[in-house]
Amino acid sequence: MKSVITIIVAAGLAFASAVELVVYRHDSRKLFVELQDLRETKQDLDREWGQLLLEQATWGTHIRVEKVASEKLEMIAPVTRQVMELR
Amino acid sequence: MSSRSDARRELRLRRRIIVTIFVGAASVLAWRAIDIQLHDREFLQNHGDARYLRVERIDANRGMILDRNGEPLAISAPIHSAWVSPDQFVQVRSQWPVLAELLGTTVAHLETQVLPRLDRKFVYLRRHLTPDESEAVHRLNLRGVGLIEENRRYYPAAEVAAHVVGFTNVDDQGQEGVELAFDQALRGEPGSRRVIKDRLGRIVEDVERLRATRPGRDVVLSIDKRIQYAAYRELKAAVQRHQARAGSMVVLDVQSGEILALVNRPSFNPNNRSDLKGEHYRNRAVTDLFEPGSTIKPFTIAAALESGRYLPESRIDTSPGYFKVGKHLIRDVRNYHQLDIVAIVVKSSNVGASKLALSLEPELLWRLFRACGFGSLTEALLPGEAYGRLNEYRNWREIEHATLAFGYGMSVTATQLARAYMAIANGGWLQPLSIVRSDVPPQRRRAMHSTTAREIRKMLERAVAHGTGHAAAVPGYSVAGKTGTVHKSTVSGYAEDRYLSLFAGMIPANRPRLVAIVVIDEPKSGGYFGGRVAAPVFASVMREATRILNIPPDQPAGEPMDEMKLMARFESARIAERRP
Repeated sequence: MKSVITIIVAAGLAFASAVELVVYRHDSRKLFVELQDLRETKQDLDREWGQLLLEQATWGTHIRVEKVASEKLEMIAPVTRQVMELR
Repeated sequence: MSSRSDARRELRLRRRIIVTIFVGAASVLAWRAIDIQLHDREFLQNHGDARYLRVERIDANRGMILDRNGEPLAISAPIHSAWVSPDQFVQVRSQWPVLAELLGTTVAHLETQVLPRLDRKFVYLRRHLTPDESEAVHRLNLRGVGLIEENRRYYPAAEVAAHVVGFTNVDDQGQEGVELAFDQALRGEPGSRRVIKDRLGRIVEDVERLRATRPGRDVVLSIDKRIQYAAYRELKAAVQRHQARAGSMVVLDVQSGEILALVNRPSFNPNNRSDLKGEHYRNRAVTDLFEPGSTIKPFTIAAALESGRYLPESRIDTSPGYFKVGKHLIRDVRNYHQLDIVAIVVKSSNVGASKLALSLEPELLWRLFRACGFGSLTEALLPGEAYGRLNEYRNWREIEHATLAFGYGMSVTATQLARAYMAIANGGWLQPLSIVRSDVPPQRRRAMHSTTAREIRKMLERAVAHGTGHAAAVPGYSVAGKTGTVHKSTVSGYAEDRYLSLFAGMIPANRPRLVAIVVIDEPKSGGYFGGRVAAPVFASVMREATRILNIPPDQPAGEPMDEMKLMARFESARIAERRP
C-alpha cells in the first residue's frame, strides 16, 4: 500500500516537473525572441547614431562653418583694435 | 486422403519459410539499429547537429578616433557588400546585364570575376556599395546574389587630419597613422556563439556563448580639431602662395608634450583614395629629415652658456663677415663686426655661431644636442618616424664641428625640432611627445638649466621683435622664435636655388603655452627666407590658437580699457535702449 502511494506521488511530481519544464522552455523561447528583437533595435540605433554623428561632423566641418559665417552671415574676425580685454 | 495431408504439409512448410524470412529481416534490422546506436553514434550525432547547429561570428565594432574635445575623426558605419554564389549565379545569366548596369560595370567584367571561380561558394562581387546601390540589389532579388554587412570607416575631417588619423583598408585593418599605430586597441576581438537555425537560416535559439565580444576601444587623440584646421588652412595657403613643393606644421602643448596639431601638404582625402599617390600620404612632419639650419643656433648658444665661459653679453668678433675652416668658407649675409651673444641669435650670424662652437669642446656641444633629443625618436607613436642624424663627436671633423653650429651636417624631423624647442619653452626639460590625450605628467629629463632656457627665450623674443622673425609677431602677445633658411642638399652638394624655409617659435614668450614649427619645402615665388615664408604661417595660426585656447594676451594691444569706463559704456547703451 505504502509503495503504491510513493509511486503515485513520485509520478505526480515527475508530471509537474515535466509541465514546468515545458513552461520554462516556452518562456525562454519567448525571452530569446525578445532579446533578439532588442539586439536588432540596438544595432539599428547604433547605426543611426553613427550616421547622425557623421552628419553632424559633415555639417560642422570648419570649412563649411567658416564659409557660412563669412558669406551668409557676413561675420568677420575682430581685429585687435576691436577687442576689449576684461581683467 | 493423401492429397489432403500433402496440402497440409505444404502449408506448414510455407509458413515456416515466411516466418524464417520475417525473423531474418527483423534481426537484420535490429542488428543495424544496434550497430548504428553503438558504433557510428558520434559520427551521426555530429552530422545531425551540423544540419541546424551553427557557430556564428559576432563582429566587434572598430572603435572611434576622437579629437581631444570628443569630436569624431574616424567613425565606422555599416555598409553592404555584394557577393555571389557562382553555381547559382550562372543559372540566371540572362539577368547579368541588369545587375552589371546597376553596379556600374560590364557583363564582361562579371564574367571574369565569376566564371573562373565556379567551384567556390562565396565570391565578392563589389565591396562597399552605396546605400542606393545596395537597396537596388536587394530589390532585384537575383538568385545567387547576396548582401553582407561590413563596416566602412568615415573620416569627417577628411584631408585636414589625414596624416595623423591614417586610414584602414577594405578589411578594416589599420594601414597608416593612428589607425595603424593603435590598431590593436581600436579593433577589439570578435566573439562567437552557437545557435540553432531553421531551414531558412533564421536563428531560432541561442545555445551558448562561446567567446564574448570585446568591442574596439575609442582612441582619444591629443589633436585639437580647431587648431588642426587653422594650421592646415594657413599651411595650404602658404604652400600655394609660394608654389612650394610641400610643407608641414606641428603645434605642441608646452606642459604636456601633447601634439595639438600636425599637418602636411600635400594631403589626401582618406574617404576617397582612388587616385592616391604615395607622395601624398607620407606624414612628412614625422618621416622626412632635413637639415635644421639656423633654427639650431639657439642650442649652440645654450651649449656656450652652459659651458660657463660665456654670458649673453659676451662679445664675439665676426668681421670681416666670413672665415675659413680648412678649405671651406663660412659666411654671413654681411659684416656684422662685433656681436654679443644675443645679437648672434637676433641677426642669425653663422660666423658668430661657428666661432662659439669651435671654442667649445665637441663633447659638450654634442651632449647638449643629444639632451635636446636630436638623433632620437620623439616617442609620439606615429608610424614611420625617422631617427634623424647626429654624428658622434669622436668622429667629427673640424668643418663638421663648425657647421653643426648653424645646423648643417645633421638632420632632424619637424616633430623632433618641435620637441627640442619645447625644452627651451618649458624651462629646460626634454619630454616625450604624445599623440593621445593624456592626463599623466610625462617622464622628463633635464636638457639644459632653467636659467639657460630663460635666457635663450629672451634672445628668441628679441629675434622676433627686432630681428629676422618679425613676421611671426602676434598682436597682443609676446612671441619668441627663430627663422631658418636652408640650402637643400642634393647628390651633387648644396643646391643654390632650392631652399627650405623654417620657423620655430613659442607663445607667449614669457610663459610659453604653445610651441610650433613651420617647414615650407622649396618655395619658388614670393621669396624664400624663413622670415618671409614660414613666419607668417606661425603668426596666423597662433592668433587663432591663442583665442581658441583662451590664452590671455600679455602685451597691451589696442586701447586699454579699465572696468569703470567699460561699465559706463554698458550703462549708456542700456539708457539708449530704454528710450522710445
